[in-house]
Amino acid sequence: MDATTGIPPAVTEETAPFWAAAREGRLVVERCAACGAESFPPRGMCRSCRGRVLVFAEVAEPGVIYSLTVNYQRWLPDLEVPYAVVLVEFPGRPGVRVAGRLRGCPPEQAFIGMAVEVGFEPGPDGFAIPSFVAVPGLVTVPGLVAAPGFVGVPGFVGVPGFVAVPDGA
Amino acid sequence: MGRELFERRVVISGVGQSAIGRRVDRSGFQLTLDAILAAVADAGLTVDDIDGLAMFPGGGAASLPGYANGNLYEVQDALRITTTWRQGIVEGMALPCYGPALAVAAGQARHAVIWRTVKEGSAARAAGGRPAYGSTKPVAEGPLAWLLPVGMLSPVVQVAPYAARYMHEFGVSREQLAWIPVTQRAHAALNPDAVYRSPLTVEDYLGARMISSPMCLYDCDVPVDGATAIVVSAVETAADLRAPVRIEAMAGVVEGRPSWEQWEDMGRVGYGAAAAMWARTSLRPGDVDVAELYDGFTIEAVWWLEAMGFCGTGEAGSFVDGGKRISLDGSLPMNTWGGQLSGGRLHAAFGHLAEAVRQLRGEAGARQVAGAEVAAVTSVGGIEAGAALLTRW
Repeated sequence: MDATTGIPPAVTEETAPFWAAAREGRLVVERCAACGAESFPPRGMCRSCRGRVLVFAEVAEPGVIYSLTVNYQRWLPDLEVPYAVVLVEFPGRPGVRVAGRLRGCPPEQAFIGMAVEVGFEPGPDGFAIPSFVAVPGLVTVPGLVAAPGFVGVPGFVGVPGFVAVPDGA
Repeated sequence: MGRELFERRVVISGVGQSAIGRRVDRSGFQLTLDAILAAVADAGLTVDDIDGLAMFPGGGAASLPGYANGNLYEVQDALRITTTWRQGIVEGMALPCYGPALAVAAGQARHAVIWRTVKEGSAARAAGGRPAYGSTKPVAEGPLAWLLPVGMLSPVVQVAPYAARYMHEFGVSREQLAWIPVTQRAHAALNPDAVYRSPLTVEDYLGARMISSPMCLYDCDVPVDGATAIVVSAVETAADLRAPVRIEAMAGVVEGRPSWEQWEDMGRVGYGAAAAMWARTSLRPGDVDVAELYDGFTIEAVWWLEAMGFCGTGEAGSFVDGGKRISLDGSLPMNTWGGQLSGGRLHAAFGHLAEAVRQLRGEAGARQVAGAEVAAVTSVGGIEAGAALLTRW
């Protein structure tokens, strides 16, 4: 896969473990050793209890698209468009939302509430960037909660096989 | 309230702007000086009266493409003044007059000027299109590290998910939201300084190219070249001032995660700042005669319509539908100068503040709202949020 055109991240003490795991295709988030709360992006401080001892926990299960956009504008030379950027949350992991690209379906067919699997793709300057994968046939995710009154966004077309589960389901 | 509010001890005394256009062939430094001199004269003051200087933004953020404030030290050198208070505001309170008002209310300065200069029109042309937000740096630092590498390369890509979420939650359509840019364009037609003044229709909007869905070309403000300066003065100097305007209430509260992609509830933005502002005044939303609501993108004006209580949450689509309510003779004339969508991206509510002052003075020309006595001004939303009410002297 060709590397995605873009601007690479500055790596810091706090974020180095995330980018290192990304190269291995693993999504890791901070988990507080004291209270167990998880948070993203890494800050070196628990956003729940302000504990300073944190470990990195892997997120391997599917997530759900909280919101998204399809970008059509070529902000950089050689930037391939269009592409979908999705904000993904994970059932049972409050405090964790990760932005990434989306693969596995045409960008215009992504929608809020859609289930996606964790993935990465080659990004700028040798970095692996979050790149979630649409999974046709992945109909429901246990605990998946979409917004109440899912109505879809005009212009976005749902993909058959994906089912957003209303609150309480 | 037991203590006098700090904002009641100050007034906005002057607003001034340089030439504003898609391309103005002067340096940002010269545009800055033009705006400062115009604002000082507008206040009825002389440059020697100015003892406080501030610019937004300052520091490292000042080096983004088209950010052209110039350098605080060089501007002071050119003006040849003594300052008792200075600030290059990198981040913080989103309303530009907030810091200067605090300084003046605390007696650190009597007349403070703050400016914002952009050459984003020229920067876009130089880049062959609007440049990526972080493209002047080799790596994405700080919050941008989670945005730029995955392709959220411009504020529009960062804000578009808010619009998608909002429309999803409340069933609001693009046909409804189109009335914000369409109505503001009609206002811009009456503003000789607006950048885009030719008529815009809902059909034009719906036919425009998508930039970052669901936001199309006309949902985005217009990068321009231009400078705005605002003078904030101590209320006891009012007799020396040509046409001061009162600050009834002002607040800046950020109640969610101050991060574009991590904001918890993308359907609701600005509520903390709006609530804090309303708690400082006995005026109510129904008292507002003119609303200058930040509109870097259409959806930001939607946030503020709802957060300020001009309509209920999720109701902005029906509120603006048809454009009547937000037109110059409607119940809530909104962005009467054209806003940033048609007037130009003067940024951080500098253009909105300047217009509010002109409306309250009755100096808004063909776009004057009759009998304007109370103006609402809001800025940005999300990671930074500010709200104010200005009233006629």
